[in-house]
Amino acid sequence: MNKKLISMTISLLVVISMALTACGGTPATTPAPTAPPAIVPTTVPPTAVPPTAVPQPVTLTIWHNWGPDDTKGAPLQSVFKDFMAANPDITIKDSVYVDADIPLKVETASTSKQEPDLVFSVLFDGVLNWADSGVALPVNDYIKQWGLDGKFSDAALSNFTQADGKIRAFPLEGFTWPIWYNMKLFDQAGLTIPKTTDDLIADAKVFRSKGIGGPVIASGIDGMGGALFNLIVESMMTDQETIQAFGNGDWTTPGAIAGVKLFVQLRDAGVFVDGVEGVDYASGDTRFFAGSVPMAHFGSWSYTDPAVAALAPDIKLGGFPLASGSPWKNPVYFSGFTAKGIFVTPNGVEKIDAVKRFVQFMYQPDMIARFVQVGMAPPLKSVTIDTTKLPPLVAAALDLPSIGDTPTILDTIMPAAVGTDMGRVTQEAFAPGTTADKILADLKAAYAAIK
Amino acid sequence: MTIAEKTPRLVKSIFSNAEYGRRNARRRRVTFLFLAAPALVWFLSFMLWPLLNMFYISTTSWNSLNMPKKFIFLDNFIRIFHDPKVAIGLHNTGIYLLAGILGVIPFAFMLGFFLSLRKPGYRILRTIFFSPAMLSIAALAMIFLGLYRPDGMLNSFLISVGLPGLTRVWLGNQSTALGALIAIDIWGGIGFNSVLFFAALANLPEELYEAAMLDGAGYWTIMWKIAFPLMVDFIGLITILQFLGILSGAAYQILLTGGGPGTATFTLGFYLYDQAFLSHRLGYSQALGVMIFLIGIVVIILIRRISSRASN
Repeated sequence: MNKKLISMTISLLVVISMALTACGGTPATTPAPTAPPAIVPTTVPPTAVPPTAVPQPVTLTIWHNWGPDDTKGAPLQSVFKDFMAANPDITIKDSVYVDADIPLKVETASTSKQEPDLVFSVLFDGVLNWADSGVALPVNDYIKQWGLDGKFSDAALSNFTQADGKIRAFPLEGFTWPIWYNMKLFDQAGLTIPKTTDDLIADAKVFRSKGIGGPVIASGIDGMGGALFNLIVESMMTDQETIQAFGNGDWTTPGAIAGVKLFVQLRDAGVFVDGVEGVDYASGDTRFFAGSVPMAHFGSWSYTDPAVAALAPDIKLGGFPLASGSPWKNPVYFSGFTAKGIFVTPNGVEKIDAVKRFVQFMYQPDMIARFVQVGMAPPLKSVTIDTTKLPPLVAAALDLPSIGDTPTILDTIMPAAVGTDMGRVTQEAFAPGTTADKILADLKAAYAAIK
Repeated sequence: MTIAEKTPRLVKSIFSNAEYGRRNARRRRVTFLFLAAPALVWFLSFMLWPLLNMFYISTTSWNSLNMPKKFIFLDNFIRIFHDPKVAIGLHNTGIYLLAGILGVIPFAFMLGFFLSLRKPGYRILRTIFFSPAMLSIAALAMIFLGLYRPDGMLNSFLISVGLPGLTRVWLGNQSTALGALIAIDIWGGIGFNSVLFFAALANLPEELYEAAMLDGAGYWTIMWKIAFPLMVDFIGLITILQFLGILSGAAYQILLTGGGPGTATFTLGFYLYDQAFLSHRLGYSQALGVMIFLIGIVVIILIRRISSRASN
């Protein structure tokens, strides 16, 4: 009996493996999942609906990360509420997820066609491929057909446009990511905002002598510290060198080498808080917001964070000081529009009329202004806001373009596959003892690994 | 009736018995298959099929769930042999396994033995030892993040006892990060496994201990000369479980270090996660999965052989 059972099991396995082999052969020839056309026409033009027809109720599903704890949560809910009041046939069903989890959730849901109709997502990593893989559809035609042509700022549109011209999503959240200076501590130490890295090194000595410690806090152990590493390195690079290094892995240019050396010089001169390599984002936040550290690198999403309220009057926003030999004229900070875009999925195309009405509603200047009031840089060319009513840091951020320069943001140029390696290299870079040569070698290795 | 006369009847009877036996065996086989079918279908559908699928996906280039797969046969495996990160992962995983097994099993056994003596308060201790297993990994990670921060509890403690020279940036320093993660596993593993050892040791006949005590043996002798040899098979099993947990696990790397700083905590399990979920190389991640699977099988066989030899 055992022999028979074994032979039966083997037969079964053979059948399965034959089936698998059959599957194995297919992928090479299987066509890609029905890819959306590069430019998708609206399926039902509004004129096709008889004017007398009663609109059918539609539920629009939206996934985003602007929950109650996010400063943009309340404005978003107010937009949803007003939109549903103006469009009683459309119900918005939104779900809030952690920002970093949204791409994978959407991609997984998409495989079973269960994705939401619209996704508010950061443009980075795998999301960069959505327009090609069919997870989301290019919005070129929608922008033209829905009266949005010419309304988006060039910078916003450019961040969302692929090399082949496809616009991946409707740009939504612009951001600024400056250096925050706690002027109370600077005043206490008798210092002013440093203009050069030499000034910063000198300031660090003063801060340390007064018991305040290293002036710059960064989360050396997670990705947010990586952004400061990138900013410092980019401060020595031209945009072309940045694209060569961060985009293609060419870390041999003079700017790239000088940038990494500058970072190491600053680290070894005690510019960062002690133990920066072990500071995580949450504790970095807490220490800066508690008023005990002079400088930090935070984005516009924190401008109206309730935790900042008490400290805000003492804060000045600016760029990171430059070293001699920098190709930039003014201190540098990051600015871009990749923080959020509205992606239209294949399920959204099924309800394109509702999507159109929502998008048109959302991109009215007064709607966008609601988000600008809480720190978001507007993706539209024209948004009217009452600057006298802006929170202090949001108002301060309006002056940033006159204070600093903005090197290339890396979200759209850094290959997704290198992201985690970059994180580990920058973690290592914050640790004392890691030489510039070692960092450069690891950066090269990280890019070599993905080729 | 002579034997000659009886023979045809005997032969007939034997044949009919054999026929009956065959029929009976067939019936038993059908019944067995009928009863085993649900389990077999379950096994094939939910265990074997995904496993075979892992082997299949490992032969493809597949860069996103939403992208088509491309069959590349053994290219992913060839790449594994040339991938320096695999060597780093193997090295760190080896250290992790060595420390995670040697640091857990002997102490868990000793603690389990102590519990099995049922001294006053052993129930409370058993609950305390088991408590790490009841906490979610995310909660544990938060606890240890607080412990390991530069201004965290561990450094504060070291400063308070006059040992400021021993303070470190535990998770941010290349020389301490892996040890810091291993310490979490050892801390949780000793307690959890001691409760398992306690359950197994509790089944040993008390007479053995009593006889040894009459012969003048102390607890230490009883533990190593009597309880240990009887538990070798079980120790082998616990070692396998501990080994598999470490080999394929990556939870603390994901939550605390991201495999860094540098490559300090970069293990094979983390590399698999990295390739599947962060770098979107599903085919390559499954090739790594196959490699981990094969390493697992080889080491399990090795542990089983060692433990059964020791047991014999």
